[in-house]
Amino acid sequence: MRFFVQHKKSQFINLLVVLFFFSFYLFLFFSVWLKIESNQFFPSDLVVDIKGNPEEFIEPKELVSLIEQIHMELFLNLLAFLSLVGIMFRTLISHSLKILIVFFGFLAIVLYPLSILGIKFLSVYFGYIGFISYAFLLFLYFVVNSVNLISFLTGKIR
Amino acid sequence: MNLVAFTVFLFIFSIIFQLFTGIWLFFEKYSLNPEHVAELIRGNEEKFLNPKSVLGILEIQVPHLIAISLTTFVILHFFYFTKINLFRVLLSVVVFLAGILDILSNFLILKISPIFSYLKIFSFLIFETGLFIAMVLIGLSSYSHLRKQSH
Repeated sequence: MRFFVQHKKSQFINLLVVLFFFSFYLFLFFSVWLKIESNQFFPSDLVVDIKGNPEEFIEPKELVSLIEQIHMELFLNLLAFLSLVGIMFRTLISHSLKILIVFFGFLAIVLYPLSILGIKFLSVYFGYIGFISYAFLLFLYFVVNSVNLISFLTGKIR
Repeated sequence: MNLVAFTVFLFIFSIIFQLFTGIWLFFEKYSLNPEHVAELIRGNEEKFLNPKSVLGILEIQVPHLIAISLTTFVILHFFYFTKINLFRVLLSVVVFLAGILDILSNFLILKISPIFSYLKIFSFLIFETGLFIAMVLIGLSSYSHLRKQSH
């Protein structure tokens, strides 16, 4: 009886986790869409969004709204990444790969907002760092989410 | 290398940046002048500043309430993996209360008195300082854990 209850419970948790993974794919898709729609995805768009463009009558973004954006995105990305890697720890992928994912994930999370400030105060070349770090973060989200999903579906978890 | 300690260390390091943007935002918007805080919320006819509506405050405070509670909980729950003493328990309570008071003070300023702008600034400072102390304690704890393992 205990086995039956425990088994049912673990199946229920697996169901919840799988539903979470699918909603996370949706979150990734809409994140890219939102960034492209708001002209904040590609390096040149990111620079124009922040610095403005007098020829197209686009005003530069105010510092307050930039900090607001960074503040919200940092919160969202930190919690999203922590949730994903928290589940990834239970998978059977190698320890060193987990360390690398965690390191580069946090690096990308911090680099993206720093590059926004870099564009504002230092150089437009930070647009490339912003694009690469954000694209890499999305890629990492996709990989970790897929690894988690496959591991849970195949039962390869601790 | 201990994976959890490593993750906690990097998380704390990254969330300090988040804390910093919060402080920066507060300074840019409100500054530390209670009169300015009251003006922004209650409005000022001479400066053509409209008072904030309840809906406007709710739109900002509702997402903040869940965000602050969640972030504070996530950070403070790492104390669970360290030695918990009375100071850490009190710190956790104070940080939570200060975060909630910071949010509630907007309504108090709008509906009751501009004097609550002092409460807003005070609770904000306590919240950020308390959270920073908690992060340093957790960061140091995870760092020493990592160092112990490497020796």
